[in-house]
Amino acid sequence: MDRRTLLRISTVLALAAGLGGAAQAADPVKIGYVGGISGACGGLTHSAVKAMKIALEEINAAGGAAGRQIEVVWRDSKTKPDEGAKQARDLVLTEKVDLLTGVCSSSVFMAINPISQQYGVPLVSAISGTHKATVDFGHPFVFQTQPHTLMEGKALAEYAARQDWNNIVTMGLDYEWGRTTVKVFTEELAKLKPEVKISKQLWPRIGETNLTSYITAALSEEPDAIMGVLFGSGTNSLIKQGRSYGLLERTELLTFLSTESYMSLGKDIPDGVHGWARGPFYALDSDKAKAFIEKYRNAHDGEYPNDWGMLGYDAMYIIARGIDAAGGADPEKFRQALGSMTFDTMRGPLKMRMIDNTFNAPSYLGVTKMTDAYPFPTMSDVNVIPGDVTLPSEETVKALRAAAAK
Amino acid sequence: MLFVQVMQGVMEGIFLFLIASGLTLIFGVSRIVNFAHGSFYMVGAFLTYQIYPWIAEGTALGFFVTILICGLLVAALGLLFEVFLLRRVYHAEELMQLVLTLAAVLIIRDVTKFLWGLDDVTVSLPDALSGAAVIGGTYLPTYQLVMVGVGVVVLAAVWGFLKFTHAGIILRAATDDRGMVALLGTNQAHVFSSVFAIGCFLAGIAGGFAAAFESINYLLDTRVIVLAFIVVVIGGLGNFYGALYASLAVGILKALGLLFAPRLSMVIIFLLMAVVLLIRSLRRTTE
Repeated sequence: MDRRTLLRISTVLALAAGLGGAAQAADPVKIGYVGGISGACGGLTHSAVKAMKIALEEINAAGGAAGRQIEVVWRDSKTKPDEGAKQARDLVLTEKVDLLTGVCSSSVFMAINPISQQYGVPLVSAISGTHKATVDFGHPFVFQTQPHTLMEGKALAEYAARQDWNNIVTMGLDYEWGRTTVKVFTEELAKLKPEVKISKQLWPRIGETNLTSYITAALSEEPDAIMGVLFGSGTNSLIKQGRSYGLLERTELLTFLSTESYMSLGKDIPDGVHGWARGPFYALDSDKAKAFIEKYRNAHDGEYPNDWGMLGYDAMYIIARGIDAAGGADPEKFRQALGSMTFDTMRGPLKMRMIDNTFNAPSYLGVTKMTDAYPFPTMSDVNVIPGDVTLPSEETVKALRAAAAK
Repeated sequence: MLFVQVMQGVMEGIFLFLIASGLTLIFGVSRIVNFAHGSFYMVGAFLTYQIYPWIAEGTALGFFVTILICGLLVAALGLLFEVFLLRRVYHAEELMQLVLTLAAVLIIRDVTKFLWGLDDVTVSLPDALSGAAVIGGTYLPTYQLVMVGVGVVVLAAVWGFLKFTHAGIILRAATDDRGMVALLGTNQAHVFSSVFAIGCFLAGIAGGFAAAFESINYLLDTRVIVLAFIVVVIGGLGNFYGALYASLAVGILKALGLLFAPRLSMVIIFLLMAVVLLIRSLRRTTE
């Protein structure tokens, strides 16, 4: 309670300070945030919002962007496409925002994307993984700052090809993200290491938390590894329930493990699971990352930021620096600015390419290990697979766009 | 392999039965479609997460005591809900009842969010329960066997209660003909309240067991209620034993489906539901 009240007071103070400053300077740049603050994305998004607020405070304290303060209007999409679209439209038409950001769920991203296109308002995705918004249905003003599904599928294949795995069972959540990641993974792995056999593909539904039947069905193939495209409660259930089936003694497991899973499972995550992540704070040791993590922890009772927090913070800086370089929020100038510079992010220097407005964001893969450094296990020996390796070729982008246009 | 999946299905089925039995009992007697059943289940799970460290974290005994306490707490919560709210709409239209239980879902969800936040939480299994019996290469996890045991105990207890006790006779009678039971001078309000509390107790302990088995968050309520309804509909609304058969059928079908046709395993369950409903309605029209 205290924390919340404090947060509110500090937000009000920060806003007041911001407004006071802005009264003398030019009008603030107005950014509309639409994200899954509640609903299925709730568990991921809250850290992103906290992190973006920290970034915002820093940016405004240092003079804002292009000499103007940045003001953010926060809206909850409830992780529902129609609600997200409604909020985004309202932000554009009523609040007259210069730029949209946020999104988490792919379906909400896809629902907001046409609004950005229709009104020519830039949309910078902070934490949504679908490639469809930028590749298949890409338009000049939608931007992707994290590795999308095509990139992640390829990163996973790269990693799997380095292991001694010849028989793999996939277990992907039965929706866009799970289906596409498994598809790309399978295709890319076939190119890298044709001898690998995918002996079974399983598709648990979203929200299904009793995965035991899937586990036994997967183990019945006696695979060298199980590749799980699950998140949150799905990952947690797979690891917890897998333990009592001796899953890790009988095979290896590669699964999406972002920081909130480590935090909620704690010591229930055994050593030796292969995990993949998008912004693991413990693996980023730049001064920028260290300073942010310390600031975040001080502001939030010693809590660590999750992957989404790291991505959110980076996205806010990318937006601000882009506006800086563009001298304002003009969409085309903003796009040109993003495409022409290198961003010093917590994940290292990132560049955006112009063909699909996608940043060369890296994927992180490693093996879990409990250490003394944190109260939960983390990945050790992290393999960073750079975005330049995983970004789809220009031909792929063109082919997907042509197919989508039909 | 077949044996492993069938065993797996049985274990999953029994767990489903724990969730669905309370829902079907409540419907059988009061004809209330209690959407909040999943919410009570979720509260049971979060309470287990909260209380277990205070009791004796890491021990099996502490775990069972925790679950029992949580079951009782959830039963008390259910009782309050029944006495102060639900009771007032028994004679209202069904839509009103639906609105009330749905409102309870939303309220409980928001309170849960407020108290425990948005992140997933989990309860560590006590070490004594986290292993598995390995028979000829087949893993039978201890915890799942324990849940089967709990399911059997619940089944036996409810069966004995319905069959041998006076209250059980009234309950069965109330399921058949509420008006007649009232005419014979039984206080219906007591029957309804106690059944609602028992149903919530079952939901609470099922949630408690789930807490150590899966990952819990504030969305657990609606996740669970759909599956529980499928089971209850297949088993026949209000039919306690029907819920048992349906749980087992759903569990086994799902497990076998995953072995032979992974893409269709959920479709098979919905097909089963469609077939059962079809046969039931055909029979009704021919009678």
